[in-house]
Amino acid sequence: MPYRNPRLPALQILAMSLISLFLLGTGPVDPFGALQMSKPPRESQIPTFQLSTLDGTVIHSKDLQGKVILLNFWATWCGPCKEEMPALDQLRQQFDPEQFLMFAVTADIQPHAIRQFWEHLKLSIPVLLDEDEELSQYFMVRNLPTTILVGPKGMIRGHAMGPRAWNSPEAISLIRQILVPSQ
Amino acid sequence: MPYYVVILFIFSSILGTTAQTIAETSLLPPSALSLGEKRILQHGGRHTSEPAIQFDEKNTLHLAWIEAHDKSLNTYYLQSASNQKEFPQPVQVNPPSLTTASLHTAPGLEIGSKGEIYLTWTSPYPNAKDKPFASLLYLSHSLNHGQTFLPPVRVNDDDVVTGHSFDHLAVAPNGRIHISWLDAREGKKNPATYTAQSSDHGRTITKNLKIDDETCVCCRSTVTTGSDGTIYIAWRKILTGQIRETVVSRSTDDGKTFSSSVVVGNDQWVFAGCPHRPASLGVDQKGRLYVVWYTEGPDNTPGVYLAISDDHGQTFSPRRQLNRSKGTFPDHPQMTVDSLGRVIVIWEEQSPVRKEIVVSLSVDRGNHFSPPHILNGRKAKHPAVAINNQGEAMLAWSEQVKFPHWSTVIQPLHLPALLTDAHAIP
Repeated sequence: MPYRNPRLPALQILAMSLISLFLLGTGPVDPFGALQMSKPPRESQIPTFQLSTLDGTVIHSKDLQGKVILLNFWATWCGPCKEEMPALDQLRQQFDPEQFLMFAVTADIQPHAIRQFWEHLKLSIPVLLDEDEELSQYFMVRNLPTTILVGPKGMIRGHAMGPRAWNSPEAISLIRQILVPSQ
Repeated sequence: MPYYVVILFIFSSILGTTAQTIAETSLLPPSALSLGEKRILQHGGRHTSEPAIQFDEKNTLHLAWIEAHDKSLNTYYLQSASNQKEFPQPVQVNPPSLTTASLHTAPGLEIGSKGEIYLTWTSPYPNAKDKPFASLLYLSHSLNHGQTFLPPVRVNDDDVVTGHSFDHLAVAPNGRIHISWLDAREGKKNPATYTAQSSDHGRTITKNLKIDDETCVCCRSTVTTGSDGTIYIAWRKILTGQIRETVVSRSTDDGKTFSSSVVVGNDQWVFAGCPHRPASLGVDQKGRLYVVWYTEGPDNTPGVYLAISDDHGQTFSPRRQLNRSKGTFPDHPQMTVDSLGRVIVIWEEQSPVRKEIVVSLSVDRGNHFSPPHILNGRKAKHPAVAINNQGEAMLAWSEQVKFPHWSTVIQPLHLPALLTDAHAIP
């Protein structure tokens, strides 16, 4: 009769567990988790809004349907906001504007200073002036920067309070995941 | 320790906390709030900062704010008797050659014992195209009841093209002016908290003194003085791990030296961005220091808290939550206290569809507070409060009285007498 090690089943279980843990650890990274981006507890639609850009162009929320939207709430007095702006612009440039749009939303209505800052850093992100703070209030933006991600159907997909590494591979994966949910 | 002892201990702790919270709410009914008639200051549809307000012993209201005009921002001041119906024309504080830098905070405003008016405000650093938000800090003063302001003096004594802002000021009983601000002159990632004084009614400023490093980049500093001359400065400090704590430092030698900063609430709020909310300070005649501030704590839940110190800011009482909101979050608290220890706290409560200003009052040196009372009729923000020593206070805030324009609303508050059984919080 061949010898059977009585410890074998236990060792097999242990080995399989370790392999599983290894596979889980090296599996596809959840970009939401990697960027500490929280998902809304239940599906909710962004409100209808109509805000002007720095050059006076009016952006209406209904014109954004079918695209992934990143709304970054910031202010001129917010150092961490200004620091993450170049990375946000780099992220924006990774995608086709027919699919992905980004807006820097501010209730800090200082068009002259914002223009200067934009020119200094050669930023191209459109700025939306939230003059009545209605959009900020709707999203209960209480600290800056705050970033809201909206899916192509206008549903809020993610929320981040504080700065993030927006030019990181994880951020690019995050936008791709929202663009093509099945991937 | 048996598990049931642990459970019993936890349960009794929860019950104890609840009982304390309820006791804090019950002393002063809402009807005790004696509010006067509102006065409206319109700004012609121009964007303004939050208001700065003071109320002196002659029942004169002092008001200052920053207002946008085309491409420039200017600092304005007016004073008005409390019974005056119409506001007089405001006076521009900054000279035309030195515009104001930003709308995001009110100018600092203080009144000296002889009616001198002091204002701090920031101006864009000239020709700083590479650093568009660099600023210089100025002190202006008026010796003719705000009819005109003398040429401003620069407060920061460096020439580094960077931010010198988030300023505040207080006048000590000996007339010395104490100014605090956030200063990035050392070029570090985070600014430092600085102070300077003027002992000649704002004509000259002392050498700048750094109090501490690692200051949260966009929460305004606050300074106040006690009747014994102790100076207190509060700011939000960044501790290891991006923890944001409100701290207080004190000076007992007329601002020459300051103590190490003391953490007030031990909030453990981890956040790497901009809260943009200052602490608010006050001292009563017995030397009790009151600190009111906004924080979110480890669970990111917004709250407005009060703590007191009866040992000159060396230690603080456990923090107590003042907001009782459900479905709204509290924001931007401001407080004031008179010599007797009557405390007024005013703050915002907001939800996705509402934005209100509420006031809560204590007539027993901060031991109990009245239930928060809503002040505004339409969407409102930017609360401010000032008190004199005759039991009269002035509340101010911004409100969309005539949509979509924002106006400044002023409302008097007559304070009830101090309760005699006021005692130190254990």
